[in-house]
Amino acid sequence: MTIWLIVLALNYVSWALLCLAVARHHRQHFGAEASLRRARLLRLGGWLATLAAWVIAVRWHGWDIGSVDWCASWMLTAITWVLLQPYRPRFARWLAFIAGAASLFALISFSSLTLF
Amino acid sequence: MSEAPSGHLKRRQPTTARYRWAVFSRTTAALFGGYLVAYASAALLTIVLPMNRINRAVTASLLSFVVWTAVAIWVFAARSAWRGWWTVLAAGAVMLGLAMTWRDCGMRP
Amino acid sequence: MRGRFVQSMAWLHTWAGLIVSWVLFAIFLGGTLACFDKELDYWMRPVLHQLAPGPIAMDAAAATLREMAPHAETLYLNPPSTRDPSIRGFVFEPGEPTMYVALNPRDGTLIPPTAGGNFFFILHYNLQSGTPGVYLVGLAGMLMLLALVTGVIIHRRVFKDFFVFRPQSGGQRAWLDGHNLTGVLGLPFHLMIAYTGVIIMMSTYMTAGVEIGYHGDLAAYYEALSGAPHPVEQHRPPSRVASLNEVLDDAVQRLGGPVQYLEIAHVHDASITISALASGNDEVAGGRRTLIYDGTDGHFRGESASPPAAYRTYQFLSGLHRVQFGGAAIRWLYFLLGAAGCVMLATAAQVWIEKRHRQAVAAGLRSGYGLVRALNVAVIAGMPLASVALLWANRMLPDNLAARADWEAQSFYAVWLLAAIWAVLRLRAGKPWRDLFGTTAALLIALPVLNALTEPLSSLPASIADHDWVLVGIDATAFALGFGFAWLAWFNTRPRKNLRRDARTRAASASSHADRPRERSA
Repeated sequence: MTIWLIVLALNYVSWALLCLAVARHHRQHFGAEASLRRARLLRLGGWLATLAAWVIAVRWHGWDIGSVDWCASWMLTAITWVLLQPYRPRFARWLAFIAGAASLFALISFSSLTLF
Repeated sequence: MSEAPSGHLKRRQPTTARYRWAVFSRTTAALFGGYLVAYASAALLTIVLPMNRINRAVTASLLSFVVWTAVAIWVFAARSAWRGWWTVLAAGAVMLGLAMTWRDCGMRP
Repeated sequence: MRGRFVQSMAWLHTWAGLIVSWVLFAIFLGGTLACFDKELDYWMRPVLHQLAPGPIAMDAAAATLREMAPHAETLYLNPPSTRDPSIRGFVFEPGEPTMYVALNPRDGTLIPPTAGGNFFFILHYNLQSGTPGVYLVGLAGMLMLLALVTGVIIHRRVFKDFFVFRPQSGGQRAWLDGHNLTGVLGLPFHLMIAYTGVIIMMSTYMTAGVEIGYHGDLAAYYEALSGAPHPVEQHRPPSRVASLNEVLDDAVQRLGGPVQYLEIAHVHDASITISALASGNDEVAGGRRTLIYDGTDGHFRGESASPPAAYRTYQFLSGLHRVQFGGAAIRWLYFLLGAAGCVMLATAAQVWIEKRHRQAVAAGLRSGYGLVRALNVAVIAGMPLASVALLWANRMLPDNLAARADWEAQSFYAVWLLAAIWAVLRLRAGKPWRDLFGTTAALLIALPVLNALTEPLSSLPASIADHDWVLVGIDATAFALGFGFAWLAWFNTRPRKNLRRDARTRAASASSHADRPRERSA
C-alpha cells in the first residue's frame, strides 16, 4: 500500500516538474519564463522522479506487475495534474510539493529496513 | 487545414450521397477486407514462422490483428475506395492461395 | 501528400469512432465495473456476509454440482479466495448451456443466484448475447484499435500541447480538450486494452492458426496449449471418486500458495482426472503450474509441462487485460483509467455533434443528427442509471422470487429502455442529460441507505465494525460517485451560453488562422 502511494506521489511530482519545464506553463505559474538552466533542471528532475517511481515499483512488485503499476499511475497522475490546471493551479503545485516531500520522507525512513 | 486534392473525398461536403457511400465502402473494406487479409496472414504465418507448431499458430494469430490495423489504415489512405478494395482483396487472395497450396507444411511439428 | 494522409486518417477516426462509440461505451463501462466483479458479486450475495469461520466444503460443493448437472463432462471448482469467500462452480454439460454458480463454502449448498458483478463482466465481453456478441465486441474492439492509431496520427500536435485543458473556452473546444486529455494521457492504457481485448477471444474469430496448424481440430490445439495430454476415455464408470478437499490441501502444500481452481475432467469415466492450477496472482500472466491428480484415489500424478512460449505471451497479454493480479490497488488504477476511457468516448460523441451544431440545428431532430444526439443521451447517461438500478433491484426484489437473477437483469434492461425513451421524449424541450444524471446521482447516494434498510447486518456502519472493507468500499464508492453524477447533472442544467461565443471564435480563427489550427477530427 505504501509503495503504491509512493509510486503515485513520485509520478505526480514528475508531471508537475515536466509541465513547469515548459516555458508557457512556467509563465502561467510563476509569471516569467524559466531560465534555460532552471528549465533543464526541472525537466531532469521530472524524469528522475518517474524513473525512481519505476525502480521502486519494480523492486517491490516484480518487473511485470511493477511496470503495470508504474505505467497506470503515471497516466492517472498526468490526468490529475492537467485536470487541476485550469481550476486549482496553486493547489496542484502545493500537492506536488507535499507529495515530493512525503515520498522522500517515506523513502528515507524505511529504505534501510525494507525497500532495498 | 488544406483541402483534400481532387480525387480524394472532401470533408467539406459531408451531406452528399456520394460521400456517405464512400464512407460506408471504406469502412466495410477496412473491417471485412481487413479481416480477410488478417486471416490470410495468420494462415500463412502459421506455415512460415520458424518455431514449433503451437507457437507458430499462437504467434500468427497474435500478429494478425496488427496486420488488420495496418490494412484498415491503408484502405483509408488509398487514393480511392475502389483502389483500397481491390488491393486488399488481391493481397488476401494471394496470401490465402499460398497458404492453401502449402497447407500441409503448417502441420509440421 | 502528407496532409491528405492525415486527412484520411481523421476520416477513419471520425467514422470508425462514431459508428462504434455507443457500443464501445457500453463495453467500456461494463469493463470498468467488472474490475470489481467479484466484489460486486459479494455485495449482492448477503448470505456470504455473515459467514462463520470453518473448513471449506469442496466435496459437498462438487456433490451439489453433480446433482444439478447429472451428465456433466467437466466441472471446475474455484476454492474461496481473498476476493471471494464463496466456492465457484462452472459446469460443462454436453448440449446444455454452461452453468456458473456460487456455492456456500461451509456446506456446499447453492447460494441463491444473482446477476452479480458477473453481469457486467458478461456484458463486457459479449453484450449478454452469446457468440454473436463475442463477434460484435471483437469488431468494436478492432474499430477502437483503429480509432486509437488514427487518433495518434491526427492529434500529433496534441503531444506538444500535452498539458493544455481549457474547459472555460466552451463548446467544441472544451469537449475536444476533454477528449484529448483522457484519450492522449490515457493512451498507453487504451491501446493496451483495445489490443489485448481483441486477442483474448481470438480463438473464436481468428481461427486460421487452428485451421492450418491443426486442420481445425480445436481439441488438439487446446491440448497442445495446456501442455498436458488429455486423459484417454475408458468407457466404464470410476470405481470411486477422490476427495477434493484432500486434493486441494495437497495442491496448496505442493504449490506453496493458493489454488485458482480444481478441474475435474471425465467426471463419469474411470479416466477421471483432477488438475489444480496455481493462482498466480503475483504474476501478470497468471498461474503457470498445473498439478495433476488421479480422480479415483487422488494420488499425485505429476506436474504438466509449462505452457509454450507464445501461449505464455498470450497469457501475459490477456492477463494485462483481465487484471487478476496485484490486488485491489491495481484494480483501482484500472477502474479509474477505465472511467477515463468512458469520458474519452462520451466527450468524443459530444465533439461530433458540437462540431456539426449548425447543421444539426438546421436538420432538426428527425435527422441523423437527432439520432446521434438521442443515442448519446440514451447510452452515456442511460447505462450508468441502469447499472445502479441493477444494484437496487438486488436489494429490492423479494427473496423468494423465482429466477431472481433474471429479474435483476430484466430491471437493468427495463430501466435502460425507460431512460432511452425519456431521452427521446425530452430531447426537444427538456434537459434529458440533467434528468438522467440527476436520477443516477440520487440512486447512488441513497444506495448505502437502501442497503442499511434491507440488509441491516451489512450496512455501512456494521461493515466498518466488521472490518469488511469490500462492503465498505462499495457503499462508500457508490456514495462518492453519486456526488460526481450530481455534479454532471448540475453541469447540464447550465444554459448553453457558450454557443454564440463558440461561433465567434470559429469566425475569428477562420479569418486569421493565427489560433492553433482546429483539429480535423470530430
